[in-house]
Amino acid sequence: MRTERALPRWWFGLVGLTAVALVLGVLHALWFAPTERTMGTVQRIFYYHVSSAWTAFVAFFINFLACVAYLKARHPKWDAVAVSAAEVGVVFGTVNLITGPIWAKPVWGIWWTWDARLTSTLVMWLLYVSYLLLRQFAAEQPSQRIWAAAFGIFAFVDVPIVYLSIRLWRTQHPGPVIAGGEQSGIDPRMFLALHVCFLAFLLLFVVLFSWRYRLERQRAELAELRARLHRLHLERSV
Amino acid sequence: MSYWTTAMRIVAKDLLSEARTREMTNAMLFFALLVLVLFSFSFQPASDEERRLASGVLWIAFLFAGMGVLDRSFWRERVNDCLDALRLTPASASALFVGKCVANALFLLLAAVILVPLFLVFFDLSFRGDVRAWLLVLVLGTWGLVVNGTFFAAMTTNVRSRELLLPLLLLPISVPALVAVVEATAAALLGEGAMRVWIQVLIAFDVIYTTLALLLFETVVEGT
Amino acid sequence: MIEALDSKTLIFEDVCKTFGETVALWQVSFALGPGEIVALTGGNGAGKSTLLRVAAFLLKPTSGRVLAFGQPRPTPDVKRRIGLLGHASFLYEDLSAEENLKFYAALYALGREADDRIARVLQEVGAEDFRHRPVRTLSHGMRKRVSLARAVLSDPDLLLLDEPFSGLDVASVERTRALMVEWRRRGKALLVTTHQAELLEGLADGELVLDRGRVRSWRAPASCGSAVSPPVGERA
Repeated sequence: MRTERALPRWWFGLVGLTAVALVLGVLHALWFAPTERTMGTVQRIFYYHVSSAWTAFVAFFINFLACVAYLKARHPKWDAVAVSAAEVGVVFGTVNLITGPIWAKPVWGIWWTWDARLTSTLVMWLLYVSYLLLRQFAAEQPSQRIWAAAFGIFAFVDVPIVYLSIRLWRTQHPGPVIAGGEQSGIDPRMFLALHVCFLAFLLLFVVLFSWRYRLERQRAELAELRARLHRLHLERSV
Repeated sequence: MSYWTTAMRIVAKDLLSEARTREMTNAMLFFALLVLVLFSFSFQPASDEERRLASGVLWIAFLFAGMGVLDRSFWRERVNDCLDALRLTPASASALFVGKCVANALFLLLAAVILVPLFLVFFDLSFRGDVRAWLLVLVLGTWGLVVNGTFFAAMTTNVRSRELLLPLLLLPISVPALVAVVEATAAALLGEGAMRVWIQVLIAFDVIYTTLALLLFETVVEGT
Repeated sequence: MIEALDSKTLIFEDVCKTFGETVALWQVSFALGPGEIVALTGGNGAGKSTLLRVAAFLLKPTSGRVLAFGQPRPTPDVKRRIGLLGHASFLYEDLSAEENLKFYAALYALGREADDRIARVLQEVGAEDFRHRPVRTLSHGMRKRVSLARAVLSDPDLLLLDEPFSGLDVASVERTRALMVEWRRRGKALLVTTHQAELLEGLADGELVLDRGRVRSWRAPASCGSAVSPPVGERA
């Protein structure tokens, strides 16, 4: 199970590519895309806001798949995938939750509203913070990986139910009227900017994820080596 | 022996143990009562909008009671390593789980029998809507809390700060069930708004998580 | 004379159990057959309790193989045939001795036999006088006897006893020794840990000595032939 000491070449290539994509994203979001008519310049945060949400979704979906795979195969690599995806996903979720109010305040006049999409994103974020907390609290338990995998499955299944229940809840109460939908006749340049940003974030995700994954595997390798060393000591002394 | 007999044996054992000491029941009820009293200091509902808020208070008190019940539930099996002894028997793990859930649900429903009348008195409320439908909401909501709560309680029994970890896991997972019970309770109190849709949400929630918990419980207690 | 392996009740083949850096068991191999009593000895932290828990399928070995009644997995039938007297009492404090046994009898699905069986085991271990007292009021020795009654409730063929004599008075030690002889006569296999080796003197047919998770010495039961037998794997 030896992992390579040096970072692989492709990884540096990927970092370069990600840097280029991020710069392109900034250019598109701040420059090439036209200013939205009613919302003005502040609308440009939308490209980052939506991209980070999508990336977080992708991360949590990977976490879910890895949790299922871990329970099936019990191979530590799946656990490493799960924890790496969840951690990086929470970071993107945080970006999403911070950019949301910055956009909402000037446009809707409020920082926050309990609409279905916002609330579900918040609850989803909470669920994965719980997932990470569980791992931390149960760190020295022999079954912690199994527990984390079980909770990861519980959490992922919850997301659509949360969305549904919040939607039903909001339709019961007359909430603040949310002006227009983003989909109403989007300019192709905006569409392009959004997708460039999303692609850049996805690449960034892959970079962070693979780095985190490597760290997790190396930790496991270190633990294994220490255990083996310990055993060698014992063997000598017997 | 059948699955159900095993489950019912666990229920009987838990009820008998609790009846002997009443440790958990007393603490749980008193705690929930305190929450109700403290909240009734802070506001007395005068308008319908405030009555709507009151339904949240009831469920917060109920949640506190629930945390007490769930935390004790597997603690009881941990004393003298009884959980190991259960694993030694040929009884199926999922039957043990169902038994624990039913016992916890009964404890919580007992809490409701005492809390709900007090709640109505303290906040000067009455049910204007369909009480029978609300009882169904109560049972479904309790089960939703208990099925996830028992699962996580079993998982966290050996963790150092389990009292802290259990709500951290249970509360975010229970968001849909909590929204549903609070809204349905408001509807029952005010006699307006739909309860039906919330009952459907609760049924879906309960079915999904009962299935998941039954599928995964053995894996979780078997460990490595 | 060489006995076939499939007649053995419990077989350990190269069993290792590690918890992170800690080595609890390392390459442990031995076999135990019906009608044999094997003493499991060694200092504190030698791995005796871990070995019993692995034998009872409460812990999975990190590597190696454990077979009980020829099965590598605890099927319901195998579970019924294994009795473990653990380090902890396995008793519910708020229930009486008899209520505890009734509860476990139900989980072992003893059905109509339950009442007779409970009466018999309570009488065997000498716990009839305090059968109705809640476990929390019992002394250490009394609990030990009730725990032993629980362990043999399903009439298991493999008995794993962790320190059965600790906390017992002289009379109870004698009674337990007599019970072990009786169980051996009935063809049960017994694996018994104790730190007072003299209490098993003249009783144990074989001895397994552990030291920091390793087998320091293994004296196979006399019925297997040579005093020191080769590792299990090479014998068949």
